[in-house]
Amino acid sequence: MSGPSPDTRGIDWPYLEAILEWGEGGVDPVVERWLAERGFTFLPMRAGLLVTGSTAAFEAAFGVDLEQVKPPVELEVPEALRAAVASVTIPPAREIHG
Amino acid sequence: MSMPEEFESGGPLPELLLGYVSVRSQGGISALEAEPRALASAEPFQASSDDHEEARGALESVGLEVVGESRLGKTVAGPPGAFEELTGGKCVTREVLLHAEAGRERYVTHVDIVGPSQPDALGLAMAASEAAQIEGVLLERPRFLQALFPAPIPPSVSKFHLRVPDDVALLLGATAAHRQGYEGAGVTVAMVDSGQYAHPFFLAHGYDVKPAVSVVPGASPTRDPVGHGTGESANIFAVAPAATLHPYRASDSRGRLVGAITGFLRAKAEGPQVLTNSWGGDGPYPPAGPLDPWERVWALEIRDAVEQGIVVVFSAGNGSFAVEPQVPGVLAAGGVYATAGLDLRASDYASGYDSPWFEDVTVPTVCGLVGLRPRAQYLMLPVPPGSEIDVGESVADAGDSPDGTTGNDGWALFSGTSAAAPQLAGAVALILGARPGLTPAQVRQALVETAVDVRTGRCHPRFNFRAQSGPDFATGSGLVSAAAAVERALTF
Repeated sequence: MSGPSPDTRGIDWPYLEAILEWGEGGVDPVVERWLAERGFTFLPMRAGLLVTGSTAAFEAAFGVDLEQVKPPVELEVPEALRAAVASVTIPPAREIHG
Repeated sequence: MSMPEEFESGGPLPELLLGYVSVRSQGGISALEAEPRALASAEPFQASSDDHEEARGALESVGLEVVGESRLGKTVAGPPGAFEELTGGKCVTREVLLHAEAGRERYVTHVDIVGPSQPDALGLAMAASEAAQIEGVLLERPRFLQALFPAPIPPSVSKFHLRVPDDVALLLGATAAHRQGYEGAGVTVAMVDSGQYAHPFFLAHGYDVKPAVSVVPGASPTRDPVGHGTGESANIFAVAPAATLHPYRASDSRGRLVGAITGFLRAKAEGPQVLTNSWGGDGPYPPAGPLDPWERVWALEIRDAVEQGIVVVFSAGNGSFAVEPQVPGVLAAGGVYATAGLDLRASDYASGYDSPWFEDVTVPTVCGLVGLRPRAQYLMLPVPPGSEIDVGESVADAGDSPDGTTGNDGWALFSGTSAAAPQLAGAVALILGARPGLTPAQVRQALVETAVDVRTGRCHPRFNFRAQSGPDFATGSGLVSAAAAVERALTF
């Protein structure tokens, strides 16, 4: 029993998780503001942020068509974030191990 | 000390109350005051059309809606204030000790109307004005379904299987710990999974399940469309019946586990003693290179939970290869199969390997009870009726016969390392219940040093390691032995 797989037809999930890795400068409040302005929510991680939002929010903010890709997807870091952010990646959805 | 049968609680009133209004009886005796033998016929208690009209007007004038009628009276709905205006009394809440669902005794909130001219009987009130042609008002009392569905007891099927809680507790050595009084009391186990359905199995056993937290917007915290979280959580209680379960639903409305990392972070922030996870990713084995950046960030987050003192359990995987169970300090739960003759062998359904990324890490650490390929139908577990697992396991698939249950009976045979993780979490709860404050490393040591060595069988063919004498990649240190682990922990 592995449960329904989200990975079969590109990314069409209503809720997406992305892991943002801080660059060498570390935590920067500018990044959090930028994300919040675009409708994302986020949870702090030891070395980054867990960024969550809708598919539409990710597509608009990061200029990517998520229907056409399969995770993991490393998103292009927007110019405004490059000083603080090393990477932003939508990981593959986790599968249950039943 | 005995508990009071009834007491006024002062709790909040519901926004909407339901009640029954008895309209003046034509026979001259109020239905609310009649002797039992007078109830041989209902005819004297019927109301006239005029009185019905009077009563309706009085009810509607105070803001009560008539939602049903008979020749005797009317059912009405409205805010507490409307009932107070009708009766001149005051609505209060009272807690009454009742035999509720599954024969369990608990306090159930009732609403009463009190006041100088009101009778003592719970929920009964008189109208303030006789002109309303109303003999009395009875507030609706909480009712319980007499037949439980789904059944709290599993169905009998012919396929060999283990039952929760007893078989799992016995084979993992938990029964002996229970006899010594170690049941996991005071220990909170957080579980991130597909959801938690209020199956009568949990209620009938008196297990302590906190309301689930749903982390994906729009997903109900009371539903579990897959049935995985509900079923696997029964393994925790099989081993630690007095533990507290705090479920986190990480699936969306279709049951896809899209919020697993969010769930982990949310659970971690609450600081449970144990955090169990029956899920993970999958990637090439052996991996093409080092961890991706996002995997490093994620692994560090898991490691941080361990460093905070949380005992983190991840399932090893059912043939999958992922970072989660390899994170140093994590208890990676593998699989051992116990035959009907109680012979132990490595489960060929479970992953087992030496970590290529972390020094001195092997997966699994220790094992729980897991079935065999093709689909590990092994443990009879409670699931929401008609859920994906309930339906899926009841039909033949992958060359495997149906499990013998129906697709909507709320029970299914399944397992996987998803079952092993909560079994380990239960064993950890026993240890921490006996010795609060032990570090994750000490808990791990107690489990590893006391596990029952498993020497036959192979793990999943993707890895194909053989179980042998002593620690091995197929089963780690072997099958968890809960009572022995508790005993060991008491020596620290």
